[in-house]
Amino acid sequence: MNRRQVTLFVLNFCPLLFLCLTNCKGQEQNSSLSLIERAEIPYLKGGSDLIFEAKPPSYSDDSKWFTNDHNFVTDKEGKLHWFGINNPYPPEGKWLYRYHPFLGHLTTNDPTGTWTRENFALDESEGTEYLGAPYVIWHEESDRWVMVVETFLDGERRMEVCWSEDLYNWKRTYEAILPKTLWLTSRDPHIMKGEDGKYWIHLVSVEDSVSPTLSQIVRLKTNDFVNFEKPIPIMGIADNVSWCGVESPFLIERNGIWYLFFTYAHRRYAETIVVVSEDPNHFDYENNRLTTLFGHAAEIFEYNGKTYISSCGPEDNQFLNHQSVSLAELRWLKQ
Amino acid sequence: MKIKTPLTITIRLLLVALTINLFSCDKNNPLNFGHTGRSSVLSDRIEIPYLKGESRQIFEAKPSPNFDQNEWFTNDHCFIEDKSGKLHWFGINNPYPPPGKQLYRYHPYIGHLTTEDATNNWKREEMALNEIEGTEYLGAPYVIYHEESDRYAMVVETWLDTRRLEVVWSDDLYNWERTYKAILPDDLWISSRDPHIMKGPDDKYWIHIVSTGNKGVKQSQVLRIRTKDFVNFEAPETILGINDNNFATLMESPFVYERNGTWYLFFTYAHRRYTETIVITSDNPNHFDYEKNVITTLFSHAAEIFTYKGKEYISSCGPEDRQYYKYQSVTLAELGWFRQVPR
Repeated sequence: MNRRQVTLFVLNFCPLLFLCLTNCKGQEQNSSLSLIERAEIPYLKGGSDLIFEAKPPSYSDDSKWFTNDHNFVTDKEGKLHWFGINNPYPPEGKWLYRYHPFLGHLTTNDPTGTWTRENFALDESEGTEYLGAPYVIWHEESDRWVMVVETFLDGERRMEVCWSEDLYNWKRTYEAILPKTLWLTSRDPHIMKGEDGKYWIHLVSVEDSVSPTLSQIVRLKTNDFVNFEKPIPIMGIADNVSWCGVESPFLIERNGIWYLFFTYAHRRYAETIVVVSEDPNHFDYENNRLTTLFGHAAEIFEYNGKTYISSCGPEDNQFLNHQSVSLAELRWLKQ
Repeated sequence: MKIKTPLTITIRLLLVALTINLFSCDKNNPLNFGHTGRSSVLSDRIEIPYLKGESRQIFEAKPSPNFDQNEWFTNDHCFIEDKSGKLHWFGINNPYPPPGKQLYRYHPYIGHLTTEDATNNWKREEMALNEIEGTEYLGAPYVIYHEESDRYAMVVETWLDTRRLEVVWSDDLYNWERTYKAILPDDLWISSRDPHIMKGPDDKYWIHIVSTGNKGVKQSQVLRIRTKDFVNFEAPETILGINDNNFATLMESPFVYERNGTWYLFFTYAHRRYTETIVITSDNPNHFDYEKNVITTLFSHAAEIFTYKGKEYISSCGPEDRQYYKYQSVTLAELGWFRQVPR
């Protein structure tokens, strides 16, 4: 190269090289960060405010109502549906966590606006008086909606599948999911379609063959909601709580990292812990706790371009009676 | 054909390189301007506080296993570092009430513990204040160093003629001398409580409390009382009001914090949900707008924030929400902050 060519090279490529190197340095730093350092931080944007009254307007008595575990699903026309535990506080002689006759259903086109009360999705007020946490998802293989919900079958709490063509009319199967395998009060289903094309049903459960016993989150896989693979634990905490210390699991994948939300409800009622993992089959509670959020039985959903996180629950009755569903926008912070 | 000059090529390449860098989203990159600079718009420069990991118990509420047969709890409290670098905790610290007594009336003790590791090895000291043989009432305390008199000042709710806020003094954080005088007894609503104290930019001590009825307005309020000497107090100013009722405060445990020129007010909306800590920002420390400027909600009851040995922490506590684990003492999480990236 002659002097002019050398000058041209220096003028043209050195700044480019410098700038690219500063950029690459940042990327190298990023790849050397721990999982906790690379994860995005979820947070509630603003307050979590009530979105509807727990008590159906058709009930004119003086009973107080509450909601508990629930989920949100958007139908094909874009309407948002809420399904959830929705009951009056128990009359005298009945128990709060046994008198669960109704599964509520409300709809809206604005999550923080006006909700329309629909008929109860399921009603056991004349039957077992027990309907627990539900989760509804679209089953594309059979072109129907499927609900997994805790019900009372043969005198025991069990997980049961219900089907619907339209989200308004539900057909129960009255068959327990894995009755010989699942711990009796396995509960609080979350369902997603996994990367293996199967539906992953996440539940809380207990491993009581060890001491101390483990509060667990387990995964059941299914293609058809008729046949189920045996439960696989994806997280365990050796906390010796015989009825499972954790509740309401919710799993999200985001930019290659898995985020497991659950309520540590038997420690503090509205304490939602977020644990991260690169492997959706294993979450290490002791080493990979990312953050703690306010929320009981928090559900996360997207609607019209915004992500939301909910809270609910019959406990923590304070003066302002926030015992229905409240909602905040959920945002994520990059570290 | 147009000939490209060396200068043109250089400019084009520089533009390409700058573009690469600006889209890199790497906040450590000095050429990434997205995370630096000070905007004049509040929403562009607020930072979001969050709990790192989880909030874990740091000590047992009960002074010792054999102290008595009761379960104990803590509630509103504060942390302060002494001149030798030791960290002190002062707070409501009582047994659950015996039969015939009420939870929010039977409050005989202000507990005191010390440590040199915020999350470990807390040492139980003598109760800072003890009313077991007296009024059986000591409410939320806050301790700050009063540099003008070279002493520590505590503002604490006590039972004088009724519930009042009182100043207590100490030279060493271990021995406390009460004044038995009510702060502004003619101006403050009787259950005004949960003091937070800081030295303001006007060099006065700002005492923040929850209250109602200031200036005749019936709402939940956070008030500020200014003082220089903890003897004379200025009239209360309302810095936050929520029109959620007309007889009491439904908020508790305010904590005001200045960070990079923006003010943050934390409070527990305890009479809505027990462990719901709301954070409001403002450019003006004299006015916080609940309707417009709530930035986030955190998990915590009566959260206090402090820095010790280079780490910032946020606490939680409280006698309610008794679950299987009995987490009714003080828990601590590291507090992190992030700048909100405009969408």
